[in-house]
Order: sequence, then structure tokens, then C-alpha cells
Amino acid sequence: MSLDATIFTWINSFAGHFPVLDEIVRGLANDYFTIISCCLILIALWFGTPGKIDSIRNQTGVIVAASSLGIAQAIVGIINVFCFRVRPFNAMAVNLIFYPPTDSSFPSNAAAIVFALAMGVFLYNKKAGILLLTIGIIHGLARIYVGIHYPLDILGGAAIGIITALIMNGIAVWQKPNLNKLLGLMERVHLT
Amino acid sequence: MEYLWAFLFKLYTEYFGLSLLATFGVIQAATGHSGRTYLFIFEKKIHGYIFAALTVVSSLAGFFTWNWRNPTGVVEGTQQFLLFCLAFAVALVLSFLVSSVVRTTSENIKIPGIQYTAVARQTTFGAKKKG
Repeated sequence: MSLDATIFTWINSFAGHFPVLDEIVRGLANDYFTIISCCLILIALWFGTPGKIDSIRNQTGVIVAASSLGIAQAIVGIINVFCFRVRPFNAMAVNLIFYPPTDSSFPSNAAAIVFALAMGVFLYNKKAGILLLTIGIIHGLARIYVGIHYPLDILGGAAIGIITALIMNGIAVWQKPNLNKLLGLMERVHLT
Repeated sequence: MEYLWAFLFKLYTEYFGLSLLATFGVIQAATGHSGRTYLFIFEKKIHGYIFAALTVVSSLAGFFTWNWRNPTGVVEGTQQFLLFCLAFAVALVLSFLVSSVVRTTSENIKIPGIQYTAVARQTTFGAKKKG
């Protein structure tokens, strides 16, 4: 058995034994709760930062994070066209306590999204970035626990998200004057 | 087929409603904190924080317990994205409108002219110009 499968089996072995823990982890693993939480943090950063300089910094981070999300999703979509990895519950006996997705196991789309958001924000706001990275790690572990992803799927998704955010940040730095113009325009229509 | 559409519509509506509740709450807490009065609908910051705590917690509780009420995985990624963006846009427009109306009525400023003009001067745009 590969290291990936061994770690998966160990984490997933806890599922199904503790009903309360199972319910909590199912909530954390679901597609909606974590991603919505992350998006709410982005909205809070966008509108909730006092002071012009800090506000522009955080808003730039939000733009980098949001654009990274879109690009990361596209990259995952392209990888899925060429690479299909069978879900763990289709490959071995697992404690499946979640709905069985039918798309490719590798890379994790949810991990790519959350880590793209987290890294995009982290580059401009360390505290919020660490909070989002923590959410991403918990979400990734939860999806292994419920039996729908191997650890490598989560790591692959996280790597795609992080690399995409770094590239988008490079573009944001390169296009800083245009980004500032965009923020200025949004300020004029009261969207910042 | 009709049953399927009704079922999907129920899921989309629930997703949209919970997103709207959460985004509206976060906008209120955030704008109250940063002093962006053109989006803030309350007189005092604390009221905004309480409102946000209630709306965000109830909305996130709704998403957390989604598995208990509905099947997961039906609302796909793209649909989630569109519904969330729509909810955010509606929350933003709602914040603009309600804050404008609240400001107009609460400040009770006598502006000559018809009511429409008075409202227009006291809307978010007017408030912003005043600084």
C-alpha cells in the first residue's frame, strides 16, 4: 500500500466510531460551509478595514484571492480532463460518511479554492491569511476523514491554489497602476 | 421532471437565502467597523455587530447542517458561485437602499423640494460627498 493510501486509511479509520465527531466533520467537509466562510472573510476584509492605506492593501489581497480562485478552478478543470483518479471509496474498503462524488479525486477542487483564497489574502494580511490557511487545512483533513479524498489530492489542490495565488500576486504587482485605477473607480461608485 | 425542478429550485432558494443573510450581516458589521456610513443601516456600531452575529451565525449554522436537511453535491460549484455572487449583489444593493432611507428619515433634514429630491440628496451618494 502506498504512503498516500496508508495515511488515508489511518485518518479514515476514526470515522464511524464517534457519532458526534462524525457529524461535526461532515459539516466541516461539506462543499458549502467552508467556502462560504472564506468568502465572508474576504467581504469583511474588503469593507471592514479602516484607514486608506490598510484598506487598499487588503482590497488588493481580496482581488488577488478572488482571481486566484477562478484560475485555480480552471486549472483543476483542465487537469481533470487529462487525469482521472478514482475516489478512495471506489478503490478500497473505507468508512464513507459523506455523499460519494463522481468527479476525479485528484486534485481536490475544494482545497484548490480554499488555499488560493488563503494564499492570496496571506500575501497582504498575515492574520487573516493564517485564519484562512487554518480553515483550509481543517477542511482538507475533514474530507480525508469522511472518505472522499486521499491526502495527495488535498496536497495537489493546495499546491495548485498556492502557486496560482503567487502567480496572480506577481501579475497584481506588475499591474499595480491599473489595479489602483480599478480601486479608484470602485471607490467612486462606493464599492470600496 | 416537474418534481426535479421544484426540488432544485428549493435547494437554490435555500442556498441563495442563506448566502444573502450572511453577506448582508457581514457587510453591516464590516462597514460599521470601518465607518463606511453609506452602507451601514444602524445608528450605532454595536447594533450592527449584534445584527451581524445573529445573521452570520444562523446562516453558517444553516450551511453547516445542510447535510441533515438536503442532499449534498446537488448545487454544483458554478451554481454556488453564481448564487453567492447574486446574493452578495443583492445584499449590497439592499445595504445602499436601506442605509439611504434610514439616513433620510432619521436625520430629518428639511430639504426644500419634492420628496424624491430630498431622498436623492440624502442617499449614499450625498452622504459620501459630505465626507
